[in-house]
Amino acid sequence: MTLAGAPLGLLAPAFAVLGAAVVALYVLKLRRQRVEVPFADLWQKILRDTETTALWRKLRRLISLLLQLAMLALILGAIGDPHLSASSRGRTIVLLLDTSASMQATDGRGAAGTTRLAEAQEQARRLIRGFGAEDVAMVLSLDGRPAPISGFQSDDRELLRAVDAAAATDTPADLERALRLAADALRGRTRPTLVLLGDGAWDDRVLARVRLADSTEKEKLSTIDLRGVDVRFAPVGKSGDNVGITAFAVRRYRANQTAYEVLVEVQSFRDHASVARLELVQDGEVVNVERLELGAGERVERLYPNLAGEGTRLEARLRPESPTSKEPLDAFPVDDRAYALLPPRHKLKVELITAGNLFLEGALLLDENLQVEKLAPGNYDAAATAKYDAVVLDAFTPPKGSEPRTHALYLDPRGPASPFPVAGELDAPLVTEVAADHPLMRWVTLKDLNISHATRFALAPGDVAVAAALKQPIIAARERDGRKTVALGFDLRRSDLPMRVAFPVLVVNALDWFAGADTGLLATYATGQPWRLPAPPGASELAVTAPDGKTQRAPVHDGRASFYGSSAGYYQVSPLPPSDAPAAMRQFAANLASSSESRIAPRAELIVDGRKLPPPEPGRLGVRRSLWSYLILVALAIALVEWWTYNRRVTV
Amino acid sequence: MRAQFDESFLKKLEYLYVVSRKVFSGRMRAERRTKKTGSGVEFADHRNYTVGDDLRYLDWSVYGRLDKLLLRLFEEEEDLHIYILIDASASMRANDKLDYAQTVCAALAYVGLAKLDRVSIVPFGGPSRDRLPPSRGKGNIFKVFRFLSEVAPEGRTELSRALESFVHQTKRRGLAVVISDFYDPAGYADGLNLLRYHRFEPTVVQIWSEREARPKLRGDVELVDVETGELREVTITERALSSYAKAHAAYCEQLATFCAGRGIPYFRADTTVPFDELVLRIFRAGGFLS
Repeated sequence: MTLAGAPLGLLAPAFAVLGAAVVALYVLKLRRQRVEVPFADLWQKILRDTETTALWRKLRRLISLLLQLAMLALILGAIGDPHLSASSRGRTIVLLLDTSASMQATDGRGAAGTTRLAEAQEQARRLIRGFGAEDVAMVLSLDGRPAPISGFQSDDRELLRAVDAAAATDTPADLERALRLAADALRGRTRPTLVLLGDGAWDDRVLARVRLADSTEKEKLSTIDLRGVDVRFAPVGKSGDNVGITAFAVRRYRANQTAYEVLVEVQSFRDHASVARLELVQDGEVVNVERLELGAGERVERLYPNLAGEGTRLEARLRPESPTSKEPLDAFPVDDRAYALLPPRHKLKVELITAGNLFLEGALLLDENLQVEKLAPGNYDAAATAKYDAVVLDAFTPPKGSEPRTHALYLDPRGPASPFPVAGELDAPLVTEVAADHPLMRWVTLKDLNISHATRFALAPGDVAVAAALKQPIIAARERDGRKTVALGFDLRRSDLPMRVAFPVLVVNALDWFAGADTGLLATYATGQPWRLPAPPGASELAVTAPDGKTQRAPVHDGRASFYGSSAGYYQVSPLPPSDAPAAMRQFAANLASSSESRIAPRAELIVDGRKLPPPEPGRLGVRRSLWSYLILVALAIALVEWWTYNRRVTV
Repeated sequence: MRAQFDESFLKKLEYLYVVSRKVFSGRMRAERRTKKTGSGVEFADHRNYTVGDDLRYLDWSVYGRLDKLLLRLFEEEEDLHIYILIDASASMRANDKLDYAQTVCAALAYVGLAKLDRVSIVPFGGPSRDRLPPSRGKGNIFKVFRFLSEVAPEGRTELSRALESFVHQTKRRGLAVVISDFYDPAGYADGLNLLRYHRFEPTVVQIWSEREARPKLRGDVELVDVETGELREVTITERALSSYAKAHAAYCEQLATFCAGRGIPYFRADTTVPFDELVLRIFRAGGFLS
């Protein structure tokens, strides 16, 4: 027996106090009406006849008191909402309700336009109403992040409320995590039952790892153990008709940031050829339309180069071939739209601290997206660097405490104030190791670089040796607290680097990396996965506003914020505390971009571990496990008995 | 309600007197004869022997024939004294019993006065009370009215003590009409027997009220005896009420049986019965007028 309402710790003192009050009221003398009679002897006589012993008189008053105390105990017991402990006859059911993106397909049974989720919810309601009195159940949502919508309940209304609250997201179904969650929830419970409510368009690789019965095969860690669980499947959906956008990317050209190119991947999941119209929309205006002919199951990629425009929001839409058609293209509208954002064109403000270096100045002049201000080392002011996006320090190392307050590129830093401690000197080093994956090294080769003299750095944990000579770092990079630092351990004039193509590329790469490395391919985020959003320096938290207008907070660690997005569309991000910097407010786009989720063909039956999953069954009748209503009925019956005995003068 | 001794009441009394004359045609001196066992010559009646009766008046011939002890009653002619003993205890206050008793008392007194009998009124109950000395003639009726008006209910009944005191203070024997509810914890038998032993001719008029016999009580009450002040907490149920009604009826019946057994004329009247009806019933039954 468990108490779901008020705890015993509250009920026991309440009974003590109220019981004492009942006893006190009982002990109080009843104030009787005084009546004058002419001849009391006659009354004496008949009372002597009707009265029984004093002991019985006391006893029947005691019975009345006990009845009232019993009523009080029953009412307090009902407030405690006691439930019978798990019965061996009742089932423990987990309703795994698919709320992934494919459940938004409009081919549910029922009226036209009924979604699969609505059909699954209706099935869930029917199941819940058919549960036996001793069954307990829990509702789990199956989407990109499976989670319980309710606890284990025997109350139908709570379960129905949980089912009603389920909403489909734009995320793929993480079936493995959901099944493991269900298995954990059902472990050790009586008659465990798992009911899968969904279209069955799930990952076959996950289903293949499910074990329902003991087998001779060696158990692997990846096995999803559902042995002993009665797994059942209630299918929804009836059509696999879908053509969807499975990839959408956009990028600006490096050399000409006013233009951009777009990559769209469209896949047909139909078993017959179809025709669709692909529209590219920039800030609400259609900028490109193409007629796509797709064979059965065909996937096509389209690259749209040299697109131009001032807008930043790009959208790809799949529509029926006829522009006037109002019919939807297919049963799954979620993947008929994809979103992307063009990064705003932004000139990088760079402060160059140098006594004069034509190589360097020439390299900086190459990039028209840079706004360079030159300053002699003697005029260096650490506080003033905060208004620049980056600082380039040529053979100048500010003293400790006066480090630049923005991203910094050090050329030949010296002395104890060097951002990377100087570990020694190298004569004529040869670059032998390069961190080719680092953004700094994109399109750069340092092969056969001649350096007459270099400084080798001692790196701290987290620092990256971008280039090293026999494991001795001579180019190092660091990203800490949202601030990036690059140091070249040699004087440009004592190497042939300025003579190479690699030099201006290296400088521009460094500045691009400082700017956020988002000038490259703009991959949009995929829904249903945790995102690592870049945060502006100094922000401790980001406020992320989802496409539906709801704002959530995401804490920042190491310059990035973790966020889980479940809707496709445009997101707004602003730092907390708020910043006035123009780059502080950012946007990004998120897409479903999951070909497995776009494959919406439902399954009428599900075969798991070589066994076809049967449909769910209704429960059987029994005693309700929630006892409060019975307690109230008994209290009412006692009240009636007490009333009757009082009126019949039995208990007075 | 207080007894109204007004003009209309007087007219009613006069009417009763006329009626009484039809019942009984009187004689010269006193217009009625008193029944006295043994002292007269004219046989009047038989009655059952009770302990204390004079054995000289036993009818041995009847005993020989029927094996029953019967007493011969003879009529004696003399000036009749009528004593009306009226209960003025606290219990008479309830349900206007005293008012009713006063009215009946006045009516009987009027008839007695009119017949030139000597009528005396003796209130009892509670502390010692004055009595109305024997009077004769209709003219004294106002004295009777005044006297009765001053009688207030208080104290305990104590019938035996009152009648004992009466018989010892009264030398002349005569008719003793006891008007009371007879609610005396000590009983009524001793008192009535005392009257008989002292050769008074008792007549019992019991006044009661329907509200007393079937009280409309319910629930938890505290009963207070109006005379003794005794308290008792009881819970009145339907069954208790029914038992009480039976007990009350049995009590009255016991009194009636007692009187019948001793030849004492017994009359019982509810206070809702018109007093003249009761008085006529007394006349018709004889004894008072015969």
